[in-house]
Amino acid sequence: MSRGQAGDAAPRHLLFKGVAGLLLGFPLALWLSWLLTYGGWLPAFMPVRDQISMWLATLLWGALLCAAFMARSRAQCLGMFLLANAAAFAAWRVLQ
Amino acid sequence: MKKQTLRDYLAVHTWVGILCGLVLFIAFYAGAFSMLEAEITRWTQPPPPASRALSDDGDALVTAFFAAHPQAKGRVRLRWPGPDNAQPALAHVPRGEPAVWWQLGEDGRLQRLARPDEGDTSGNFVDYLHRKGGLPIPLEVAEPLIGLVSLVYGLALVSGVVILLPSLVKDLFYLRLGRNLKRMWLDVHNLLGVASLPFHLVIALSAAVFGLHDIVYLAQDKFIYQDGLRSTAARDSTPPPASVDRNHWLPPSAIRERVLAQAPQFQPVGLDYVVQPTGTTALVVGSDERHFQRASRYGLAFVHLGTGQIYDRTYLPGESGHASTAVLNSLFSLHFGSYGGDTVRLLYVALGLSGALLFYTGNLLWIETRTKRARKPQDGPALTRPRHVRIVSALTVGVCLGCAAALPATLALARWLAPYVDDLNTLHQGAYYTLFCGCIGWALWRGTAGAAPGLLWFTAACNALVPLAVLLDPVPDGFLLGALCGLSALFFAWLSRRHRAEPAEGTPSHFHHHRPKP
Repeated sequence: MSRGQAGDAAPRHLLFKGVAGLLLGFPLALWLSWLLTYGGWLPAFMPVRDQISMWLATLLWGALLCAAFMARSRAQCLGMFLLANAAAFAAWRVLQ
Repeated sequence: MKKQTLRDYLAVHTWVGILCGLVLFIAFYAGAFSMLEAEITRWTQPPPPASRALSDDGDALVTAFFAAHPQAKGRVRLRWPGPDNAQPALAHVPRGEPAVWWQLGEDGRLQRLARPDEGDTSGNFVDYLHRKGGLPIPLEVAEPLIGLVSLVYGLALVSGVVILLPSLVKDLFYLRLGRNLKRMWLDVHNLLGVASLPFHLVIALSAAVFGLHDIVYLAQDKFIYQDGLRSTAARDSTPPPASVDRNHWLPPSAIRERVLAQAPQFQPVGLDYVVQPTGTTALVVGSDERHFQRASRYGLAFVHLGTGQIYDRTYLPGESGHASTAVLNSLFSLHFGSYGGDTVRLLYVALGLSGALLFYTGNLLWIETRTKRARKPQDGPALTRPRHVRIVSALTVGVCLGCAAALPATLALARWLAPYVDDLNTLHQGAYYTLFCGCIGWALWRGTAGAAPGLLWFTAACNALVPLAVLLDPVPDGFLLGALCGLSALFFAWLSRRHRAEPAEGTPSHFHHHRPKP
């Protein structure tokens, strides 16, 4: 069997990636939305910033769910999400 | 992009579509009708005509209400005369309780108005059907579910674009209507999806937000905002002015005049008092359809009760002055279609129906693909389908035609029976779900091929009930709904005739024989 055929036959773990995107994408979206709206990039006073942050969190959650399926394997999917969550959490802590 | 990644997204698109497509079909179909929510309510439950026994003085009504209820808390809504009430009316909505409506008699006494509760109107039934995707469960449970479905619907849109991109230029405007049904449905599905993609992206995001905002806010409150959500939000809000003693409040008509002087294009329909232990704030509710509006039909202007000055223009259409509020108002308005007047509302009706068609064609594609896979040369021209495909096929016909039949039928019934029933919502629920489940049961029992002709005629007849009711008793509020259902009746009757005339070609094989040979 060629290498390409072996790759085609390999299980894709789509359900795993979807669940990982849904569960691990949520905290990541929360931290990223805070960083983008409260991280110091925007004016000091911005009406409805909390609502924009909530909309952004939902948008990012959906986008991360879509991106989860680009991972080549379960390990890569899990690793990327955990790493990104850790980085976003660290940035959130530092910028408080 | 790698071929394998494209195949992954195709699989994701297919399964997400087949799992959520029917719920989204109902949400879009009812969503199209919900664009006529106010007209539907007035058509089935016409507001009482003006009475000489009642006062036309809104200022006196407010004064009389606060004199009679000095300790009233919650929201007190004054509505000036308009399409929904011929004379001024006032609703007292204590927190978590249903509204109590009042009007002022010519004798100066408050009179309880026998107005249906907001949750007991036909327009509200259509709105809830839309918001719950047809699921017969409480709204509090359905909304987060629909939020998740909407999140996944966004995934279906993105994955659909990803798999279409390599052949986008070649296939986009290629509509191959012919014997290759899979090709035909694919072309229709792609054309509908790409042509209305911006609309669908906005609807997916906004519907996800409407369904999941409680969860997101709760998580932000507990884990993200160190000071909590309330104080974080307060930092970026315009502070309300110092509380004004009730004796120094301007009368509602004076507030209305001063708001009109500050925002001439804003058409006030009512004044809301938010009465809290810390003081009372006031907001004028009104519309300016030249701009995006925050609420489903209206915008808001926060006013000073002593001077009538607009102190917060965040939700005043076209006058927010900040990019953040403009973005927020546009997102709400793009979901509700609350801009541009009747032209945009009719466009949204068409977009809602085309959205429903997008999910229907998606299901047909899934069925056609699996039918083709099951073909074997020795079986001859007859197609075969595995059992699970037959079930999905019957469900697709039953759910889609069931919704398209039951919704207009229950509205026509409400128009005829509303004067004789106390609980209109029970009538709506009972009639809708009986017809809807009956159609699904019929489709599952008879199979797609056996059930489709009868169901198509039945759907056409149910839709025809609405224009019939409009013709028998013509009132302006029924015209748009009558036209919509009349066109739908003609469409379903045409489909049924076409199905009878050309059973072997042209019509979806979805409607024909597909039982496997023994």
